[in-house]
Amino acid sequence: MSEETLVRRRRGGHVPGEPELWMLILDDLVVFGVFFGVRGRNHAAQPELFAWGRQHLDTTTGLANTLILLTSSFAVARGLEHIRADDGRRAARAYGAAAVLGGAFVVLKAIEYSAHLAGTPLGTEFFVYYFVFTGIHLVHVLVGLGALAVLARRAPRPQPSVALFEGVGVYWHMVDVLWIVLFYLVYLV
Amino acid sequence: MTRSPHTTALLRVGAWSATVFPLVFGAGWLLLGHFFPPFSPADGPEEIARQFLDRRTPIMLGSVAIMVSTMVLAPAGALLVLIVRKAESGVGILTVILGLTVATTMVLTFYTGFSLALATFRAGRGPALIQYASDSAFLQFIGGIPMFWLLWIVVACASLVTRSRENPVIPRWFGYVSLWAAILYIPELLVFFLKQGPFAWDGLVGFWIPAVIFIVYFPLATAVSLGIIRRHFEDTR
Repeated sequence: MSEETLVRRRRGGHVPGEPELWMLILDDLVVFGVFFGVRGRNHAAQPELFAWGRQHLDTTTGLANTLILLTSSFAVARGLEHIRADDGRRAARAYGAAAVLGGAFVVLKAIEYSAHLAGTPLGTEFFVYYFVFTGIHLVHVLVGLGALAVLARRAPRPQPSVALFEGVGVYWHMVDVLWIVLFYLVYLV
Repeated sequence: MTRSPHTTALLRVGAWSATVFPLVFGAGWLLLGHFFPPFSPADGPEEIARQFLDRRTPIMLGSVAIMVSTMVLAPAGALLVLIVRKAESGVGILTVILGLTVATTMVLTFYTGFSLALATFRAGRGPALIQYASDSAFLQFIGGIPMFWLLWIVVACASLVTRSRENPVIPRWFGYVSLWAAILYIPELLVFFLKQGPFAWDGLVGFWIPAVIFIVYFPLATAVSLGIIRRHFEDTR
């Protein structure tokens, strides 16, 4: 996008997507904020349990998933640039790539889950939090994958709704940001 | 289509019954039953039996209030079906899903009260049986997501997908609120697994977040549907 367009958008108070969507985004962030707070409090109360649990997690897979989602977010941003530039075919490719990366995230998560289900003591508080938080995040990823598939189909059509593409983009970036915080809290701290 | 003032008045009854429902239900659950917040699922049978026997008559009355609240759901559900039918421009799959879900929601509400009645009906029952009936009430009401979850999904779809941005039947912000409520209720399914902590039926995620949504959503639905009736059901052309 040219600098000029950006400046015009900012002056015009442009809200990406539709303003109502931001309610959902902010609400969701508040809820995850509460989740993180709950987890933080319990972590502070029983540091040994959380240190023990962390040893059962595979940081490499977690890091791979972080990079996958970041790259996917980048593809979504590129897709939006193409939509704004009226290049539907390239946009469709970018959204397709984003969806494939999102799919890879789901596959890695499934491998991780099945390993935990087979070999770790699941009843502990650490794993309850692990499954609940990453599970709810995974639901968000699945919803986002559906939305990305819709975008990949719609992008080549004439005069696509830019607000829809922006809205899904905002949502996908939120999913990405939430994962980064989760990765930090669950795998690293 | 021309509607008589009589019909519009009935639609308004539907809108207001969305606010009356949590009041009647709440009278049973909160004022009479004192289950707000609920006792812990980790409590033993003796402790639970004591609670039910100490407050036997109020809980009996509360259970009847909860069962009666089922009827108040009917007009609200009917109005919601009509609204979604309008959003779909006719009876489509969303309207039918909603009709079915309203019915199961009513069943769920009735049997929550019914299980509480079962727990109090005979004073001589052993603590384990009282606990069993009480578990049935709590697990149904707090964990019964599959019975009503699609209400929000249908409202969200009807609001966000079926109509154009211009002159939508259901305001788009309400579609997002419904979607958000649906997402927040998913962790409720964990009440079947955990008896302690934030995901148990007396915990932050298990009880308080859904309780706040429950209390806020119904009066909000009244306000939104009154607006919809005014804008979309009162044209006398």
